[in-house]
Amino acid sequence: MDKTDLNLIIENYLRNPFRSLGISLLIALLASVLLVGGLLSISLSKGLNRLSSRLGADVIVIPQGSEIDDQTILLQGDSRKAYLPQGSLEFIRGLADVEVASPQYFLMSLSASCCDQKVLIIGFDPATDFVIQPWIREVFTEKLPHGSVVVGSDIREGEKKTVKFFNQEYPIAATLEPIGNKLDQAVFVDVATLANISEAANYDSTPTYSSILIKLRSGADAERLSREVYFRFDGLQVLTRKNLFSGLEKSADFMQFIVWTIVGFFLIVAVAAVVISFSLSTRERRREYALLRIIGFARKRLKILVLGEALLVSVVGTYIGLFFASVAFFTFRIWIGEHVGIPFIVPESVEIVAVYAVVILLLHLIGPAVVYGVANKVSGIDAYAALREVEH
Amino acid sequence: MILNASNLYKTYIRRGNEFNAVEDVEFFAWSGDFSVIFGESGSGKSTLLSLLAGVNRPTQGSIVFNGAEFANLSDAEISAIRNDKLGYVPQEPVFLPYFTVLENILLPQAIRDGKKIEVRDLADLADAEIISKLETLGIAHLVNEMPAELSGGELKRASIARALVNKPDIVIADEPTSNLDEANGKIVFDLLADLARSGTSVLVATHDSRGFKYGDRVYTMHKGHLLPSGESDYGGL
Repeated sequence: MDKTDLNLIIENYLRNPFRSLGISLLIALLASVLLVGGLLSISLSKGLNRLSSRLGADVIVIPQGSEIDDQTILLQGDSRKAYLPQGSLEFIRGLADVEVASPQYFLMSLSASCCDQKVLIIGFDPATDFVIQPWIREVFTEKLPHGSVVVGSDIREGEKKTVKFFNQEYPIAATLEPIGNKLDQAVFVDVATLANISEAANYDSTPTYSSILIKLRSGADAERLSREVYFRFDGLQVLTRKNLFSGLEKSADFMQFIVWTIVGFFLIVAVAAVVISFSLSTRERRREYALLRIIGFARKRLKILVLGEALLVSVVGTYIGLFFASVAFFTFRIWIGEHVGIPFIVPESVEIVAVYAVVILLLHLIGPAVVYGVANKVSGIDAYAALREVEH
Repeated sequence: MILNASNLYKTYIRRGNEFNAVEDVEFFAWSGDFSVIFGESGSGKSTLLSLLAGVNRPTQGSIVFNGAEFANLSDAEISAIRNDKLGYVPQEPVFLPYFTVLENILLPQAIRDGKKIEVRDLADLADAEIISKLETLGIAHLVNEMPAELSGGELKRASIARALVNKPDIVIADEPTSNLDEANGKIVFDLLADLARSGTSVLVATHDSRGFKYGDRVYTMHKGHLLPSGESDYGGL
């Protein structure tokens, strides 16, 4: 392709703005849907994967009546005060199927210097915890000093890098990577620090655990464990990992299905529109192509011209679409995360670049690919017959 | 010899029956020739010219241009000849509607040189020879317009200017004076005669009887056959 061809392609685009921009806008819409669909899909997968890896437990025991339907317990952080029966931890630790059982303590602050709303404080037992500490170690490898806290990614650090509860300041040792749910707004402390906070709040200085996270032995039977716990205690629920994630996975799968159905719909509409538009346009322009043949265009060059026009339409549409979709997605990502009801983590830079690269590549190819057949027809044009079409 | 066609046939199928639009044609053109072909509508003049211009492929026979047999050349090679060595004026003028008339006229040059059309205004055109031809054809004042703004006769003259822009070895013009009034028809014939005098071979198919005066080789086309003038059974000249 030389400068003449490029000149013809660009001028044809600019001087037929209605047709050219019309197709470009359709491609732009497709680019937007593809980009947002891709980012949304990755965000949902990441959210679920991160949550799954964070959970770490095979079984969770929680107070009965907790809202398990929307997975708020533990996974999302429960704002309600609910405790497990006394002795349940010791009983569970004594069961043959249990390798480790670690308690978690929940405390809701009434106010905090960090936040506009109540903050959930989660206490863990450093001696037995196998869920929160590995997560903390990703950003803070030392032993968590007594009296220090680790905060979720949405907690704002003050200038002094402290957070204040019940008129006492606690130094922030580290900020966690986002997980995509309400745990990003939680504060994590060891059980001893939680006792201090409880005392400052004039609560009972010996906190009672709100959940027990269980790691099963190899080959253990979760159903048997459930039966044994239910037989011994009332007022609690035993949730297996499968129970916990099935609802979320269904929701995420459904959302992915909706997203990709919309993408598929727009893909079909865009492809059909590009093919129809180019077919009609090339039919109208048969005499133009015949002219180009008689003044020296080879068949192959004519084909490249048509493919080039399709490429330009695709390129313009792709970048218009990417621009507006990027602005919309990154402006509203927090709002989207809050409203999808599923753990949602905005992809990392590399993943975002990869999504952009795939969308750009796909959409740059889509115009020329779907117009290839039309371009072949144009290149095979009978110039003499085309010139005479209007003559007689 | 610039162009030599021999045993040329072009066969079409119409309503299931084969017919020869061009049949057993022998034709040659030398530098400086002014050949004129007369013939009634449907006699095969336009088809013959399209074959000789490499726009159309013969069913049978050979066309040799500057020593190169068309049948042995690739599409790209024949296209290059059409661009640079052969100026073809189709019967009905055709233009790219989104370029000015001047840009259309300069398009073969841009294609040859692989450049974009940089001259959009006659005032910027440096080629005195092209300007002179545009003035001779009486369209210099119109070339900044879009094709849709011009009349059929003006477009015809612009089409002739475009065929000449690369200074071809041969100009093949199909009815170059149709749509033109008496005066403009004469201007076109005079221009073509000047070209022939300067060494360009000119081949014209026409109904215009003035062709007799200008042509130094005159033919008649009848039912696909090309006959030297005087041998025609068609007495309508």
